[in-house]
Amino acid sequence: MATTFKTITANDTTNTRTLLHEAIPLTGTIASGTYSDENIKTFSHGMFESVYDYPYLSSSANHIFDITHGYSANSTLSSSAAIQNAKKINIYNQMAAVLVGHDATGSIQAFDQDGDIAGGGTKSEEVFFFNFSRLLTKDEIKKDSFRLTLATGSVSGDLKGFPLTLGDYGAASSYLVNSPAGEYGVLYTSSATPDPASGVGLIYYQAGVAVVSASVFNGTMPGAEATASILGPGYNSSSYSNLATGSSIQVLADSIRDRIDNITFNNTVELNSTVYFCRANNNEFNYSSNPTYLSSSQIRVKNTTSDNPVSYITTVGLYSSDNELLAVAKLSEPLKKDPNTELTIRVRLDY
Amino acid sequence: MAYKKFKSNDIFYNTLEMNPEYEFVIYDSRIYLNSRGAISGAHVSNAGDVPTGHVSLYELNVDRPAGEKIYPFISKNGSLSQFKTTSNTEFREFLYGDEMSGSYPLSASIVREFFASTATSRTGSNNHLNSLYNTLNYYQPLSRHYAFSSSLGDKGTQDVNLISIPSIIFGSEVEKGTVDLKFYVSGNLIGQLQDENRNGELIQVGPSGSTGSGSVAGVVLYREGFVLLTGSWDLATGLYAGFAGEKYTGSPTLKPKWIYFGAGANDGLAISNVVSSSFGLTFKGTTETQTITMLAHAQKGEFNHSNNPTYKTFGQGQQPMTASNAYVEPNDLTIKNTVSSSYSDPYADFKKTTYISSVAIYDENKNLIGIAKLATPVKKTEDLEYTIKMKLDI
Repeated sequence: MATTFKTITANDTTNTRTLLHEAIPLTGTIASGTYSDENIKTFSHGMFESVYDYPYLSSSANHIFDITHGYSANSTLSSSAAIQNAKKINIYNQMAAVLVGHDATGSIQAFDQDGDIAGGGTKSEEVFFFNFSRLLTKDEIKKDSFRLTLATGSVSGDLKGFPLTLGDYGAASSYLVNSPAGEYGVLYTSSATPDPASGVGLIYYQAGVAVVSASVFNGTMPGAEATASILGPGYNSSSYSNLATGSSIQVLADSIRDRIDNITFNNTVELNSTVYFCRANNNEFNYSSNPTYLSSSQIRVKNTTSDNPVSYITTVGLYSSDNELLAVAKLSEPLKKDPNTELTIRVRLDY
Repeated sequence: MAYKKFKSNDIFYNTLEMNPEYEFVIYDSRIYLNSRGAISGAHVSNAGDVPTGHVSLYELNVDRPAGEKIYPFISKNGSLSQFKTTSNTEFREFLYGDEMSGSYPLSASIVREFFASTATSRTGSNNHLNSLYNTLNYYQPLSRHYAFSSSLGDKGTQDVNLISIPSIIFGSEVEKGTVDLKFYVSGNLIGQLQDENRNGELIQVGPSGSTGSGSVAGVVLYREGFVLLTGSWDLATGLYAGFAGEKYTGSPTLKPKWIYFGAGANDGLAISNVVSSSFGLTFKGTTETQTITMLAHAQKGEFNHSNNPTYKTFGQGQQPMTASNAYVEPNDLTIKNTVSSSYSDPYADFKKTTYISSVAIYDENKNLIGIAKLATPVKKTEDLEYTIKMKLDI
């Protein structure tokens, strides 16, 4: 153990940032089919339902996302006669308050189709929400990696034959920042020159929330499965508007859950590191206070009095300004140090 | 909202020490942790995606078939970060911007290594037993049995059974005195080791009257997570003297001894070699969690005003008046009176009333560093005072 401290200056430290990603594939069979809805947790309050990646009664199950639906009080669907009308409006307002924020008068702003809130434009007033678990999104969803494939066909056709893939195409360079919840991108139905006016939803990267406009269903949308079959025949013929006003949030969540064909995205974990360059100059750290360093009051590694002192560096201790030991870095093998050598030991601290 | 400074008596630092118990059972080259077997999934036969007896880091990829698994990846860039599983040669072959991928799950379990006195592989710097030389000698003041080489035996030359326990399971250290090893033959206990004296010596404590009872069969390195067994006496005596033994090392048939304890625990021994013997390893780990407890006081006369837009009576014009040389906010806005009255008119007397829904924690530079939410808002009037207790696990 060294008995002297050496001050680390600003020139001896540097900070680095590494982005670690994970590819998250969520096939539609997880959301509906494989586990016969034993992995779908519903709640008596009926305001959302949770999807797990395994029957949720098992300790192996992980919560992966929640689904809910809401519409604005300004929506044409809003009516006191509608089932759970207040809850649908409350959910829309709650999500909008967090994700879009308030205007100068304190009113909650609506979800904007192209994200240009100040510029007015079309508002998404009937939306589905996918709130992804922090386990999957980690620090944030990677931009231009979110893809959601929904079956959107009419009830008369083969539902699986009308898949529509929504994605935040081009968001790596065109994401928006005018949200209190962080950065977000617009979901488009095509990667070909995304046009802001063709947005069908929003994806909030740090919040891990996808907002999908009900407009993707073009006014038609079947109800929940009547049988256990996945997207097969057996649907009632409600249009989306009938479904949105005449059904509970849970039925709406079930309906869109049954239509999920695939979800993929990449997440991001930000690893921050500080690198300390610990420099041992030629005349430094050549002695040791280790009890084994001396034998009969003589330096063990010196054979004659004219030999240079030698030490072996095994550990670097990092101390605070008050000389409190904060961290210890171990070398994989001891390094020989004598007055003829200088060493720079690179200590990296991840956090 | 006004800031209020914590006083020295409002903040407490504590460390919670917890000792979760782990029970490993080893039978026929299979390991079971806490009596948990493989769970059958809809897509794969083992939903957890790790062998039984293993713990899974992150516990992702539950019941996912090949090709649909979550995996990590990283782009090669100037920070030169890479996965540990990527070799330097592979790393150099990647171009900047290329994605280097890893795989999940990462798992860990106990590993048994048997060092036979006759084996040549036990020499060399990479030998796991030799690498414990200094560590074992360090604990000699606790027990002479720790000594790597002494009159009690030389671990460098005798048969040694080394069981390694990963720290992701036990935490910071194995709790002293909790290690319990049981050796069964056909379900009958023929030997049991415990650290009765809590000094690391594994003493045979059962069954009563068994051969070797009271003898030290090995030692435990509690902080490092190793169990070393050197006891080489025959455990099949008395009622079990008729047991011929099993192929604990693959071949030949050997009598049950502590040096063969845990045979089949990730040591490469094929199944069907040890079918009569089973082994139990129980211990408690140690985890330490630092906590900060903060007491936020809302005393009489404090926190009775809110900046929430709903605090003011609805419908008032709140827009400021602006002109080229003036910015005037309205100064006659009324606060909503929420005091309940038995009559619709007249209203109850006005009382300043707020509802505390969250407590925000700021650092000395007034950076918001944490928010604590209450389960339900708490009604606060000028004549009420509260203390809100917040706990933060680090």
